[in-house]
Amino acid sequence: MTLKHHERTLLKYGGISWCLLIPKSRSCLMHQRPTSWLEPKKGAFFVLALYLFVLNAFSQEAPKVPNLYERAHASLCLSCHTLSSLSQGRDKDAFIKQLLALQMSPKKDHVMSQIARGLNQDQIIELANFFTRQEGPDL
Amino acid sequence: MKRRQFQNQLAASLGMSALGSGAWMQKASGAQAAKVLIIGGGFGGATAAKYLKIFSKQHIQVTLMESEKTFISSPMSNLILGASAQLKDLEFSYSGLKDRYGVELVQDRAIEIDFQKKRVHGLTHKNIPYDKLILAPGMQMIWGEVAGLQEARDQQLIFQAWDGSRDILKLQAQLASMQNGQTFVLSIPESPFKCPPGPYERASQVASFFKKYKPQCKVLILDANQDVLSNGASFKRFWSENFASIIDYRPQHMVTSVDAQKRVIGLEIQDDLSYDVANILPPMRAGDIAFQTGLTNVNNKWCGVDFSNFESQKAKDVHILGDAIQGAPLMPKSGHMANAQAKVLAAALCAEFMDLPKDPAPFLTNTCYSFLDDQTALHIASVHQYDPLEKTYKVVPQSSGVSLRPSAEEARQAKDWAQHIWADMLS
Repeated sequence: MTLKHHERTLLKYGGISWCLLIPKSRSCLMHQRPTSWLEPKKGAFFVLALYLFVLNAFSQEAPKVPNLYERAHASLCLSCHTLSSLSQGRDKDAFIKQLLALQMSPKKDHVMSQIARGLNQDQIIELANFFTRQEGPDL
Repeated sequence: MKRRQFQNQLAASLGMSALGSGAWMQKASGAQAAKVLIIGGGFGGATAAKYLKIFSKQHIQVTLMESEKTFISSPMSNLILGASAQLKDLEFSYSGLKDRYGVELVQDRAIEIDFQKKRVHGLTHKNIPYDKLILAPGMQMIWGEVAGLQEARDQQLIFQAWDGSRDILKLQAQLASMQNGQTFVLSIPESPFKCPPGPYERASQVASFFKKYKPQCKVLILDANQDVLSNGASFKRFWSENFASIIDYRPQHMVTSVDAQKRVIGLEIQDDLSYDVANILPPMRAGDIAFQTGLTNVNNKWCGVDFSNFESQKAKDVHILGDAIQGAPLMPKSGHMANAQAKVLAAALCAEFMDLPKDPAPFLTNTCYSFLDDQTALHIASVHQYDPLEKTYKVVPQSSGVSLRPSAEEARQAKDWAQHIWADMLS
């Protein structure tokens, strides 16, 4: 059976919620009655919490405009094996300096220099932001 | 913090998140239901499939329709003719797109598109629905432009081996069977065609093979164009320095007919020529599905598109990528260009589904490497910036460039590039 993404998400978070929340119902544990947690007021809270928790899971992956285009622009570097290699172990300033050095390079026939010379200041800063993020350049 | 206090705060924070998510879900309802069907699993189509999934965080349902079971790369395939690579080095499964990104794979050939009902019919799969259709059908040879070529191909006497197929092995076998002293003819059509430096790389690779194993053999290049189209100075210098006794380059030689039984080539102006093995590349146009559905509105060969989102000028909600489109000035028909276009398109479609503004400044990068023998290569590179006023891409002037000389370092970079771009589209 193939599950769609939101079905997998529902199962994942629903399962986690079930494991974490339900056993905390005292009457459920004491009386071995699986539905007893619905009886007190707390039960309604857990149902609501579960619903909101699952709903929240859907909202976590919403693309945002700058983020979308930053990722799209940065993704161009992943296939050209040039700019992405600059980011390894570098901070933002070092990344920008290296790109600027490539732009100014006297080696006019160097492929990395030719690509770098095609980038404007905004694009350089955008790439630097993307490739030197603390959490890594994950698309 | 008291337990009740904690519960209240938790409920409040979850409530706020839910309100936020509700607003987003209303906006994204189109994306969650959106179905994108992609026809063609080459550099453009496969990349679009993967990046639609990545950029939408899996919210778009993506189906890739491709007639072949595996992807065979055209870039680097000339190395097979030079005996420095094997087909297995260039052949890859599409399974990564399915297993890692959730792309639905349909192995079939698209034969009909119903633009009104938004349905595609394949040979075996009927009524495949789409909200957005991406066509990445590559190019198709125009057989009728060279009399006798279709028959030669049907009789398995002449192979083009230009579209990432196993025909490259058949051409390799023909070269291997040549007697020392025989002539291989490579004919190049008028531009535009897929992979501008490709034929010159192919001639170099065959010459490299002959130099090692059949030094009396010749490579005769019949080029319909005025001159070598890409890296001309470097190619010709390398040929004169290394293959002077092997390569005979003849510009402005347009092949118009071939008799594969008699092994004679007819030219538009010059006298007929005889050959032993021929690789005749006829003029090209957009792939069949684009041509047959009336999308080739430029010279009846190529598909005109709106460059801001690669939407067809002829059909709404149909987007076209790669070799099949009428490119912007100086935009090559290359694998790397198709890969870059696919990423711009994937972002544009995600934005449209999310009702977000268009990217005001998309840009494309391109690099084409050419091997001259098994040790040295050269490149051509460029960056193309979208101009919203003129609605086209323009090469950023200082970015465009070529190698001054072929080198072993560029050969290493070329192999590195290939590994990166194959992984980028399929892994």
